[in-house]
Amino acid sequence: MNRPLPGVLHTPGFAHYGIAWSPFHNNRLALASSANYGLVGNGRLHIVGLGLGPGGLPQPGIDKFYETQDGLYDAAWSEIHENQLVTASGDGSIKLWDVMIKVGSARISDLPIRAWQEHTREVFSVDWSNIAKDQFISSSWDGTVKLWTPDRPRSLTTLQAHPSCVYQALFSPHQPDTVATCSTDGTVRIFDLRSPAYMPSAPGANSFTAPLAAAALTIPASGGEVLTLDWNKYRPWLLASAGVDKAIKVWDCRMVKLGPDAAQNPAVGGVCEAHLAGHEYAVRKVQWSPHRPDVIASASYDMTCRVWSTTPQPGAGHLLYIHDPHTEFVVGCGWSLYDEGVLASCSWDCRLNVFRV
Amino acid sequence: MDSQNFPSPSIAALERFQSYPFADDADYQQGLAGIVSSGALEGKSEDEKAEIILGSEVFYFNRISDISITLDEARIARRDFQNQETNIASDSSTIPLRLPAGNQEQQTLTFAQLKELIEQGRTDEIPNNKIIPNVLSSDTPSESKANVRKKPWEIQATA
Repeated sequence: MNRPLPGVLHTPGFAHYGIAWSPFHNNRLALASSANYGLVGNGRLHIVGLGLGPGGLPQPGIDKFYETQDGLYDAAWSEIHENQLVTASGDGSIKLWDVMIKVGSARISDLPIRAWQEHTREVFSVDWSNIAKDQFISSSWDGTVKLWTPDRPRSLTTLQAHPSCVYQALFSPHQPDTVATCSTDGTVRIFDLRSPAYMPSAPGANSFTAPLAAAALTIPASGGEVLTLDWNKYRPWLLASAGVDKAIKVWDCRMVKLGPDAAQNPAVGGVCEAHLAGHEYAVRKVQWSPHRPDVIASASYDMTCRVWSTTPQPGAGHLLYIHDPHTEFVVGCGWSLYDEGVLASCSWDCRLNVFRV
Repeated sequence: MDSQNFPSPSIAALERFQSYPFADDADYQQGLAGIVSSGALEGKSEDEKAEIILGSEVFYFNRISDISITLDEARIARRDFQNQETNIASDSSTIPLRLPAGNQEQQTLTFAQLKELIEQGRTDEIPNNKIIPNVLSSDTPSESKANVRKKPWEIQATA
């Protein structure tokens, strides 16, 4: 069967790192990108508008872009202000942008409205809370997760979440003050932001290393780095994780206990409910469908974006769809929030593809 | 260069101004950041902002070079280029945006070429590696007018 070609946006010189669909406008998304493979040079935040392309497919085009000193790795739209979004940068900075502000000269970049510099290494993810709509979190290679609100000049809380890079941190879409993280250390962790506590010191631990925040649950998810995770939108304690081991794993975490007691007795566990194999290289991003409890998309270094079912029809496999026009690592994918079945993928080939699954 | 044969300023001087890499000049960018953070662009129209920025470029260029051009001459020198830019920007929703000034912008290096330039310390030859002023906008942020929308899973949960 011939599939319709995707709507494509090419941004020469700027490799993509992350996609964020606007929670207000059906036809708007943000694209975080970096020059020179993120090794050295500038970043660019693209604000992308979707028009109607051939065959009724969304056709992406650049409405405007913002330039940054260092590469951009992620973006998240505000849940309370339709014109504002935050970005995560390689220089440790977090910036808030207002897309209505325009200096408008060819000679000067448009500027952010706020900036925070607390992380000491690359900020790799940002996520805006859909429950406490004035809060967002960031995760960094410095091992911390920070909680922010746009009006405060400093972070509200810092969690020393992992002993190494935290690739992603996401708010639970159901449970207030609950955050899941994933890391180089091979674990996925769930934190209760209301009960910050430190791990009891292990025997032989010294006071020179930063004490770790106590997780309500630690899932030993992989022998390799865990690069991405996502909360299921319909089953409150279901998480998916993926990374260097190429597999997508689905975790039932209903055994987690929150609150002060949990902080004193940190649990280890998680029941692996599904194991989706097929990607040939590391999986860089997973995202559950906003419309279906059993559908998840993934982006991989194998240059494909795939869609999976966790409850396949009898006799059918988990894999529902492969999108393979990209010619480099696919590093991001994101479902349209309001147009069911529309998926966007972005890649180091400097192309954003928008297609219907 | 012999500029005696030309009326002042020479075509060459205007060409030098036109091609001067203001975006990559750290001293200039620092000065510009100062102008922006002082609020000098606040409440100005697009045209007025462009004039202020052009003025700062002429001032800086005359100070660091051995030639002197006027704002009018700079305006003429820049005009063709500006026209090109606005034509493209106004139609950016349908045509992929052409990247702004500087012929190096379109260039894409392979990973190996890049690695070599970094290892040899030739970072000035790396494209898209310019100085961006680390300042905040002095404009007032927009007001939110849209209502919060329910996510698909929130709609189904309350249905």
